[in-house]
Amino acid sequence: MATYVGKSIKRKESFDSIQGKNTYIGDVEVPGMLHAAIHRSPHAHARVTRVDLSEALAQPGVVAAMSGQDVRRLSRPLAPFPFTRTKPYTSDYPRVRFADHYGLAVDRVRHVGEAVAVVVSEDRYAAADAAEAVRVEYEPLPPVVDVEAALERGTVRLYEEWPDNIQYEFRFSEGPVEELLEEAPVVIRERIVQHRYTGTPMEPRGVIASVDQRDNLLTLWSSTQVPHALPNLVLETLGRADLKIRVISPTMGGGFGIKWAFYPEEVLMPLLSLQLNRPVGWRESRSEHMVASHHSRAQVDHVEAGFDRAGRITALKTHVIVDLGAAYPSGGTSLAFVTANFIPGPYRVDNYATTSFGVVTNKTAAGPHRANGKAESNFIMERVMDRAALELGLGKDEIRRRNLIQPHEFPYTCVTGSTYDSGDYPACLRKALAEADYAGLLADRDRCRLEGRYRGVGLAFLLEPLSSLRPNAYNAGYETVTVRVDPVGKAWVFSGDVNMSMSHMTTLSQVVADELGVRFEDVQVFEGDSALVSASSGSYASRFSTVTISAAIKASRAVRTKILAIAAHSLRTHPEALECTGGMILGRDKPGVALTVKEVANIAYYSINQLPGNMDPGLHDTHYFINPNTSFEPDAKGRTSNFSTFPYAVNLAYVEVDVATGDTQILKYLTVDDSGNLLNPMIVDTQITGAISHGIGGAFLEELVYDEQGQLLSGTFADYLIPSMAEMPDLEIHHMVTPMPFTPGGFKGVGEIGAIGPPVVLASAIEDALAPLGVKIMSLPLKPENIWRAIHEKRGTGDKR
Amino acid sequence: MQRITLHTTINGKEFSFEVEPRLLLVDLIRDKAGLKGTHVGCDTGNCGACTVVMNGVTVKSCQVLAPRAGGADIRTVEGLARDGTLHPIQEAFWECDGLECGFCTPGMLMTTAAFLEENPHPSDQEIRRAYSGNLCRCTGYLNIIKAVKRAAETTG
Ligand code: FES
Ligand code: FES
Repeated sequence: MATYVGKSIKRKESFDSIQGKNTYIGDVEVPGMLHAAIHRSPHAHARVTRVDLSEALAQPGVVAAMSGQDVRRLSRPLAPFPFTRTKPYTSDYPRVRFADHYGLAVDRVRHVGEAVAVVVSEDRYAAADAAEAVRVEYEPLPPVVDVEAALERGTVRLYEEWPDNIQYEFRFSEGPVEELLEEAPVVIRERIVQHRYTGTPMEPRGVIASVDQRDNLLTLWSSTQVPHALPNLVLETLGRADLKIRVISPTMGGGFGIKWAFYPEEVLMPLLSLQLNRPVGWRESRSEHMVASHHSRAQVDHVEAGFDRAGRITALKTHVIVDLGAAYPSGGTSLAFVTANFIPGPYRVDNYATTSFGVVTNKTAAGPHRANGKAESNFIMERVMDRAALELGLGKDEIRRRNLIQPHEFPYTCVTGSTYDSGDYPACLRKALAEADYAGLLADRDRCRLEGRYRGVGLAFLLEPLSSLRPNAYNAGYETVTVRVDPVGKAWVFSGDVNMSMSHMTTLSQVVADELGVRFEDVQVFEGDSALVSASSGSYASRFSTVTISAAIKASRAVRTKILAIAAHSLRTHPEALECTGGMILGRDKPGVALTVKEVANIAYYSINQLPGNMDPGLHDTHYFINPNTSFEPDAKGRTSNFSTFPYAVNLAYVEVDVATGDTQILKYLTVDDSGNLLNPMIVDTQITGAISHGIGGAFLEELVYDEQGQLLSGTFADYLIPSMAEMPDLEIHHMVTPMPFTPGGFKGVGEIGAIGPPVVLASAIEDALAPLGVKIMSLPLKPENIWRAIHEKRGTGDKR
Repeated sequence: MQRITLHTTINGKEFSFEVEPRLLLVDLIRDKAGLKGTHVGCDTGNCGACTVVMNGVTVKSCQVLAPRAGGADIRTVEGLARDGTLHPIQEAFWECDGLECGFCTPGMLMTTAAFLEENPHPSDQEIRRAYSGNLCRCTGYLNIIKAVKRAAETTG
């Protein structure tokens, strides 16, 4: 039946992209548009005592300017995101607090780059000049930069109305963890530090607002992953119940989670547009992006893991401290939740206790970035497994083999309550070891060691929870797709998802063409506009192939059933006697075309007298597909199940470390991924490759460095380095397929798992390479200077050679 | 602010513009000539999204002031396809899946156009070096290397 699904079909989207014909947010032109520029705080923490806009207003071309006081007068604090209410949970934990941040800082700034004033001009260059002419007086306050210091008693509080700096708290405990740790013959105790880095899509953000007074219709163009959440968020923040809001998310130059948020500019532009009665747009520069768009990943973790003599985990205890930055509505609290829930990973862990804090500091807000919380959880557990292997004298493969969940145990409810859908973990590990010639690599490493060369093999088993939901939140966890066959037999697909760069047009066309039985070329896909479907959870957590594709399949099937019923009625036969392919309806046992979809569509819309009795005209269906395999309701142990599917992978890396410089060269990088059925293998492999390059950036290059004053030291692409072609190693990508059992297509999602691997597996490989020196790697990034320092600390103290 | 007049050829078409001397070439191309295919990904000359070919060599148009383009011959992504037929470089990027979001793509394509003229049969190593000023956040580059080699075969 599958003509298109499973085939490496070239992307439809690329046709425009290779000609420079896409319309990104920066290319949207609204007639009469004014240009806004934002004055941002140079301080990490300060009281704002005076904002003087007079000089800015006097500049040529400037038509308006606003301070935080103006914004406070005209609007409410930014509505919480992703939650639809400030008390989203009914149980004791998670516990979350919100802060009153407006579109502009009112009397206090809490991070470098926080928006303090906005100016509007006829000209973009003039607006930038005017923003510089805003005069602000600050009274600096002591900055809270270190996340552990932020927790200390007596530390400055970012929000005086809070009792401490903890925004989010999650606690969970199952089994006699303390006793078991006490009894365990081997206990691994580590402090792990993961650094701050982020998605940095090549396209920075942008927002344009335009008001149509006749209809009280506000149109908002934003490079957002949540066009369906924004109408609500903006309405609530503006306090203007009379408005209708339509949000358009144009072609996006990459999102990676950074555009999954409610940003101040998304309320500032509407506010200005309403005030001035003209369209107003703002385009983020890269330097702004580095301080005004979300950061991610930073956390400090404490972990204790008990093992028996056979190398099996008996108990696990973790304390996760996530550095959230300022408490803007960035969705960052999920970092603390996801990390803490999934540290047990692909292993059987029956006894687990965790406390997880999301802590505010004077830095840019943290939010999701590709493999949100999962890159972090995998790093923690895999470092523990490597240490335990060393301690117990087991191979890295062997300790994992002894702890992996077995294929017959699926669906497997993990200790924190989520149900892993399917998989064969031992087979994945076997395949990776065989493809890489693991034994051969170990032998080569040992040979090199004798020659004084530092080569090492890294191994990591990665688990990625995907397609999530939350109670009382915009990511409620379903997706909406409308499929329509028009009167001339062409298929139109309207999805609530957003195409960030993941070829939704191509893959939705593949699925709908197969399910309806029409040609791929005859499917037209629309996304990224809140007017298309009533609601959507937006684009995040690689949920497209789990929920959006499923909704498209279900809607297509409903339409096909109707097509066949009309055809059968007109041919005086049963629908079961017919099939539909390539736009043609054929008899199952009789050769030859009986009818075309176009002819059926003609009946459905125009010759409705020929429809079977009681059938409505038209060929269309809207399907809401809810995240399967999840539940909002806490079970007897107070656990919820928030993720639908759990793709996994084994990554293996072989590296050589230059001990004189600390530089690492990747000699081999191999991955075996199980993402369920593959919709389009070519696109899947490009996604995996792209995600691995994010991970390599995070491992070796990318770091948002703050000094003690809370100044960001890596605020441009000249010092925040993302991988270029020169840093990207060749990859070996292999697949395993265990279909997702709870969706009609069996797909699991593939956008993020690649990003998890490199920091984890490269740390493992580097530690192995430096094993003769006794170097232990418990923190990221793996920059040459950090590795060099680790080598020298060892040489200075322990190493006697 | 003082304005100057400048004449320039973009994709074989002659233009004359009245501009502020501080205008960046990228904004001249995008806002004055209306060719939005050239993109802006940074403000420090690091990303290469704004790469165009000026007088036969690639330049990062965000790092060039518009007056320097007076009398110049500029090629942008919009000039690659001829009479509705895609350029072999464009075909190669499409075939090899050398792009995802497409934001870096115009810069990649223009770098390729100039690079293959200079080096029609590049090795992997030469490609990796030549493209270090063009950043892509989506693809992880490996398909771009394939695309450049495919384009070299089809144009050479
Ligand atoms: S926009 Fe010109 S190099 Fe980045
Ligand atoms: S394709 Fe998105 S940045 Fe290259």
